[in-house]
Amino acid sequence: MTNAIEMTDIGLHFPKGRGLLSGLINAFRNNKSVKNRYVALKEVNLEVHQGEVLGVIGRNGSGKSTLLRVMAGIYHPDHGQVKVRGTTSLLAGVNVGFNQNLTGRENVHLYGSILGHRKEKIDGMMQDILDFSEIGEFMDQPLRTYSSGMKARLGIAIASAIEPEILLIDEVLGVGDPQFREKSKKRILDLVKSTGTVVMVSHSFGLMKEICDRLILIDDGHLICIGEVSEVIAAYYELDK
Amino acid sequence: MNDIMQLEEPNPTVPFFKGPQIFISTLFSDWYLIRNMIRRDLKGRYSRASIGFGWIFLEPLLLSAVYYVLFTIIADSAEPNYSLYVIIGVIVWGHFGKSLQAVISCLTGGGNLIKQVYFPREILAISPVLSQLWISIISLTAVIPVMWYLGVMPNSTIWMLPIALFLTTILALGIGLIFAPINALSRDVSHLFRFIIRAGFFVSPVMWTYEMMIVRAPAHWVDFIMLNPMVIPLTYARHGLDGTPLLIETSHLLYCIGFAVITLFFGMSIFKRLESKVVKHL
Repeated sequence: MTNAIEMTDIGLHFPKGRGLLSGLINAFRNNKSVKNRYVALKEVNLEVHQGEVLGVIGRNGSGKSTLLRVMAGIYHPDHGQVKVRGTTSLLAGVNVGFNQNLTGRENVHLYGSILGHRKEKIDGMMQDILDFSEIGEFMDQPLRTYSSGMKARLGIAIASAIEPEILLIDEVLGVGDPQFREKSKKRILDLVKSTGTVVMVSHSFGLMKEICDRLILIDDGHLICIGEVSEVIAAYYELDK
Repeated sequence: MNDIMQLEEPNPTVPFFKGPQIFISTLFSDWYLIRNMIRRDLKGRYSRASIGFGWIFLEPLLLSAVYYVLFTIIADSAEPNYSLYVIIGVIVWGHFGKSLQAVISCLTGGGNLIKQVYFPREILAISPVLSQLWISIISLTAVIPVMWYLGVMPNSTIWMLPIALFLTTILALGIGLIFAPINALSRDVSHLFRFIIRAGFFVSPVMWTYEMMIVRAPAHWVDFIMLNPMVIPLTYARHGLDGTPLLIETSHLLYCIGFAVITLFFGMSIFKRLESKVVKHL
């Protein structure tokens, strides 16, 4: 079986405080001192198979989002190596690329191009985004006139119009009203089905049971276990004991 | 699935001397994104003011009026075109200062975006400089009424004006790129540069001119003053607009161009080398 992602002995730590000198030393070489930093990931070895849906669970602050960002190439690990096959796309906060003073349409172009789309591609997506987000005539109004639900719908509509080889999802469901939530869940499930390999972080175990092939459990930066969905969920509830 | 694709490290750290090459290829391959970022900058800055883009002309005009009154009272300059020199100085120095500050804070300001999406981060540095260049070019039209009032006409030396703007832009970009990753480690850098830009206003020929300096400064000071790489761009901009010939030592000119080019290349290299390492600090 081929692997889509291989992580060997990944370690990553975040700096505590703002030391200019220590930061500089750190940027040029990996220093071994454990002072002034806290560990986000430690000794993580993981292989994600091609074509599987892998779920990541763990408590808040256990390192799930950091793990996805290492896979996406946003954070460079301080230790170990990560390798991916093909393009990755991270679905995280859905309206970070937005600007309040641009119209909805201009924001589609801005956010779309940040996600790496070409102009023609974005023009082609426009109708689909209009239909899905149900924004209607507000599309040509500045974003500051939108309600927060409208912004979230526009964000999901743009962010989910991608076709990566590896899809990384960081808990983006759960915005908008119940009808829209259902709709965006369906859209992301479609995306999951059409994409080869998916790694997703979620706290919704029901959803995990539905779509994941395997789960991993992370606690305090360590990979606790990998395995069948029900086993790993059971292990999660064992954590407190 | 696709077996041709290899397992690769996502967005690997690049070798030090590949930085410039990556910058230039990004400039072409992601031009559409850069254009959208520039539009965002410009619209964000002016769309909610009723005078809007009019502020681009008004700001240097008002600022120059204040400086002109102040400095003619203090310095009592005999130079008839002094008001023109002041306004050109204010615009060109403003271009340098604002571009430099925008580049230095590009990583810290874009932190939210950097942590959510991967895109070439050099775009965050290039696009604010290009927006500022656009603003500065528009604001240069504020010199037209002053030139008309003084009866000054540009002539064949006008080529010096784009050279001046170009040198100013790459100087600001180069210095900014070196310090942007360091600013992500510690915000002291942007505070320090706010001071440097204010002090530089007086050390550079904004309120004075190259010719005044040549006449008044002791000869052994000239070389020292010319170490400031902004002297030549400011002087070029003035002579480009007022049409008078300029005599400048070749060694000074070569120093300025060399300084700008080397800083830019070094900046591009160090930025690409460090940007991925400092993301954790944002």
